[in-house]
Amino acid sequence: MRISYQWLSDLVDLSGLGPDDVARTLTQLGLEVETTESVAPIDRRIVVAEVVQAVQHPNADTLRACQVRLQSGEVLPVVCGAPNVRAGLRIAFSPVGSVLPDGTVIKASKIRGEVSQGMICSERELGLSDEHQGILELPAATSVGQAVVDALGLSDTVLTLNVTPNRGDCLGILGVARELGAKLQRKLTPDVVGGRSLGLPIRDTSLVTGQKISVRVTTSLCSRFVALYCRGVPKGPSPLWMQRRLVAAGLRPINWVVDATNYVCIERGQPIHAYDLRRLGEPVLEAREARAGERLTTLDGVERELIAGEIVIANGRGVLGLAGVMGGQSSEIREDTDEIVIEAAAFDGGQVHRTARRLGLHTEASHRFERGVDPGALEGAVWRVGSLLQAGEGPGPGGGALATVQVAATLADTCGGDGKSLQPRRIAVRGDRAAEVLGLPARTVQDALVRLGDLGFGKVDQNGERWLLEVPTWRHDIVREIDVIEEIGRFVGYDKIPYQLPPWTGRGAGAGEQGAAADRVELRIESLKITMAHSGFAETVSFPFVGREQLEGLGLRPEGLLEVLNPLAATEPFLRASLVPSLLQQVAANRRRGSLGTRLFECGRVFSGVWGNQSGLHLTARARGERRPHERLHLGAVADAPWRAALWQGAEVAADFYQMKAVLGGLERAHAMAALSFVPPTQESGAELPPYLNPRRSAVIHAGSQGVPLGWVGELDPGVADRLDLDCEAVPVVFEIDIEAWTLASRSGSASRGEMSSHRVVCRFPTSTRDLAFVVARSTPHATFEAAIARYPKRKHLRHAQLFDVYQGPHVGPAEKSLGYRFVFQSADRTLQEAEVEAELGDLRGWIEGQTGARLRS
Amino acid sequence: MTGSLTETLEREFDKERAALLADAEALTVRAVQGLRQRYLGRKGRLQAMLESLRDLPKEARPAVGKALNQLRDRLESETATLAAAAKEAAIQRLRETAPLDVSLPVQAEGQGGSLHPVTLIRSELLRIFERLGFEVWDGPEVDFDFYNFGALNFPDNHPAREMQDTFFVAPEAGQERMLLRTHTSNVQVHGMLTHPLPIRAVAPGRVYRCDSDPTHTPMFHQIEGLVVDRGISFSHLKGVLDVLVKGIFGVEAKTRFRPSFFPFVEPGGEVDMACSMCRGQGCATCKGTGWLEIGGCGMVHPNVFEAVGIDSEIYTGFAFGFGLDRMAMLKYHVQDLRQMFEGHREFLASFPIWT
Repeated sequence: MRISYQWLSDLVDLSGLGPDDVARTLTQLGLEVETTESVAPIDRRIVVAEVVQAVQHPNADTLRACQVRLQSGEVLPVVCGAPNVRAGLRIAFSPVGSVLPDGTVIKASKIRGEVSQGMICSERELGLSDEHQGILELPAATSVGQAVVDALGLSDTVLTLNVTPNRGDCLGILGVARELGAKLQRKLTPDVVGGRSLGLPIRDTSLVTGQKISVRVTTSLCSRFVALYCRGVPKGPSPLWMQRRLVAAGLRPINWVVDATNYVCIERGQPIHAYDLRRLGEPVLEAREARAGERLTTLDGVERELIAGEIVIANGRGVLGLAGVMGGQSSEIREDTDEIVIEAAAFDGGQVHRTARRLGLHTEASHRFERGVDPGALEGAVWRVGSLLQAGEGPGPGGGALATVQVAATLADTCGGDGKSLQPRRIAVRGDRAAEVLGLPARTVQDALVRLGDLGFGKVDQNGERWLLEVPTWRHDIVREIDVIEEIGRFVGYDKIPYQLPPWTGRGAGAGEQGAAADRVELRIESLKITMAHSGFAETVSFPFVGREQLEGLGLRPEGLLEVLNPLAATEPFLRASLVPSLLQQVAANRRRGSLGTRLFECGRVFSGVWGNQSGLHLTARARGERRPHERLHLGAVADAPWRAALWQGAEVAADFYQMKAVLGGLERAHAMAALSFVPPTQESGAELPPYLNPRRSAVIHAGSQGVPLGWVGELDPGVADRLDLDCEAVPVVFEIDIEAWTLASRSGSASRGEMSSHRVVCRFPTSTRDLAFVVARSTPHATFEAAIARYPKRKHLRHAQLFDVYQGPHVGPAEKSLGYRFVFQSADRTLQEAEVEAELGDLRGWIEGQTGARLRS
Repeated sequence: MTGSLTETLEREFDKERAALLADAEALTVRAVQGLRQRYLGRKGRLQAMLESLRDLPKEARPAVGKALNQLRDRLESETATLAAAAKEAAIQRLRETAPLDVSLPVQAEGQGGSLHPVTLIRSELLRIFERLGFEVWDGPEVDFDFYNFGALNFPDNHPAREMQDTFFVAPEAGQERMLLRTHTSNVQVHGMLTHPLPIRAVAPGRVYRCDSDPTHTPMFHQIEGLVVDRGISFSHLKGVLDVLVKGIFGVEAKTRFRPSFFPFVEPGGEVDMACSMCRGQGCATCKGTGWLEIGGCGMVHPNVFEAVGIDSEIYTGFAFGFGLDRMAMLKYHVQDLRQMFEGHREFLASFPIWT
């Protein structure tokens, strides 16, 4: 909402307060002033100057050659055609380079041989009026050098207010003035507040015509409907002062009648519509609900079909307007309009909202009706339009230039012409409750309750702490006690409320089951992120929206994804089911900037259209019982090649599957998570893996003894890497895991490392180490040996075994490999004898050979 | 026979020993260990000879055994001397080595890792809230209207809903429409429906609005706070938020509260912080006002309490919501919001892991 400071000061006494003071006060009241902008309708370079000489132009009868003195003392030659120019006169001087309101740039020129360095302006040239018989004569006391815009009092400041949706009453300058008046204890200008007693005697019975207009409301979606008949309305453009104010408010001037209705709308926040009576067909207006299929061409020239239940204004001739949204073209005000009907009504905000949304028509009117208008102010608003239409009405220079027009008027009102049948809401307020909720002293609250009268609240009754108040008809946002408490807080000022810390009566953080679980997840995620960062990954955040093209580039399909119905980009309507596509995109972007070896990770939710009861850790027990789409917290990471760039210490290290596996192992150990196992895809096609991975160099990840599937890790398919402008020879490595599933597995997994050992004894006796190398078929994985060693039934002193060598080459068969293991033996109560170690080693060797089909390497 | 074998062994040992003594480079602790292993070790040559005693006639054994023992004593003593010399040489070598170029660049394992500024500010905030006794709550990002709007006193067909441009999500066939949460306030509703009173909780997370321009992204981060108890007042809200802002921006940071409107709080307000760039003097960051808006807040609306079955006569509470992205930008001097979501390596690497 744009508010002219000058206009505002017409409605409330602002003496001694500048625009900045007003802005500060409004912001403190909750009417946030976003910007203050000075506006000058006349170029500030156009200044007051004095004519020191005016003589007949030597070569032209109608022109005068003048000398104009500026503040600096400089005297310039100016040729002027006005009959009233004379020495000693203070005038508006437009120097070379200045710009007139119509856009004309003043240039130095020679007029019939005489040099002219500027222009002496008429009222019309300054955009003040149509007067151009002579130049503007300024009072002799006007000081030379002052900007003309200031000398005429035309400079203004526009305040842009962010009016919250609950404050429809502040979508008019009067509402804002009321707030300021109450806060600053300033008086509102009586003529304006008085409703229909608006200066001009247009309610004088002698002006009331015999014309009858009839209004009718046949829907509950319109609480009041008022219409004023006027005859002899002015034609053509509205006065310049009115146009200037409309422009300041962000509106476009149209014609006298429309501008007057818009002017009152801005002034009072009440949308007003004017009909050309002759084009109405009959002097009847009815507010009713539309019947399905009815049609109307609105003022913007679009023919629209209506839906049953929408509010329309109609008469016997058909639908005339879309109530609260936009008028109809058929009864539009035109050049020749003389008799009009001015309508002000209170339509249902919800219905106006639905209609405006359906048609995509957000208008000044719909904006205000949606937020609620004052049904008690309708009559005053239409009379105000009538009074403006009376010629010469209005403040500011240029007023009074229009020929007098006699307006005759008749009012019709569904509320009996006085609005008395409107029932203001009554609310009981407890002073002590208000003090308690706000944290203010009782005395302060009492004083504030008294002062609510300045905001229009009526005191009906008081019984001790209990006050019964009548809510002003313009405050639709005040419906229960707490709303009045907010008013008290607002008027006392939030800055007067003390700072205090609340007493804590709870059982401590994590008292609730949900809180405890979430606390633990939060801490775990934070520390997982820290470990990822220590592994050289930079955390990134990306948007979750994906499109078909992006997915198909990775061999994925959008089927089964959750879909956004109103996406920001039509090409990205789906919610991601994986973090990898956006990570790859960001890595590729870094490569395009010449940056290799980027390592990124993201921890974020993924979604899919699999519906049912979900077990997500972010859900409460209640929410787990609802049918919801799949939503899980994932951790995804991408490491672009190389893993480490060549340095003086050594050559480049490639990024590969094992580097990434090591990162995952680091996470597992650092956070005592359920043990991970890495399983190759069981099918040659790698169907358990995403299609953008190379199935020969990737694995499915399981957690804990239950083998809970978590995700996968692997090298990007070289073809996909090539399509993404990544390196197809040194492909990036990626992993993605379900953090929630891993957390759950770590909590319940019986054989997981997540279960801290109940006692840990440090062994004081020395270890014995023995190495054995086994030769086995290349296709036999290390996991087979690992499993055999873990299951060794006669284990006595073996502490652990570690693979230290993998060999393929001329010393073993062509389809064979050698795996070297280091076995460590130790006893908890003595130093082991050589023979004991050798005996267990020999037996273990036989067991491993039997279990794996391997033979000892000679 | 044995005699010549011991002599051969001794001669070979002496030859190796001499070679080590002759070459300063070769005389290392490890080389001496190897020498000892070969001659005196568990599978060494001397051991083999001792084992071969068994093959000798009984009467020859004492003499040969004695000779072997003498030899062993000698070799032990020689290797010990050698080992001492090797150690001495090693110590000398390292002490006399040419000085390092300590300015050579090195890379730590995992260099280049960092945490996102939103994660950093989130951790800082959670540390403060933890000290104040708050729990951390979480909630779904795709949710039903009820949790995001309905229970939070947003009437249907009211412009208040348009304060937040909502992304709608296609529902399961025939079911209620879902949305991407527009604020973390949905977690308030989830929590109040299930958690025993009193409540002191915060809920950080991602939120979504159908909006994109230089200062708005379709996804951003918020942290929600909720306190419900008997006797909670607006002054408690001010107290907690002031502690929070001072905790993040330093003790000299100042807060200002002014009325505003959010349907789920009444009285409702906005919190401003004295501009951290100009200390409230007015600059480009605060658009000359000296104040920066950092979040919305207010007393929980009785309609919200009623929607979740809490008696609004007995209990009062406050709630607040801050934009984490904006706070991170202020705290870490990030100029452009969009950079936060582009994954630009240099940008990300400019942040640390801990603050």
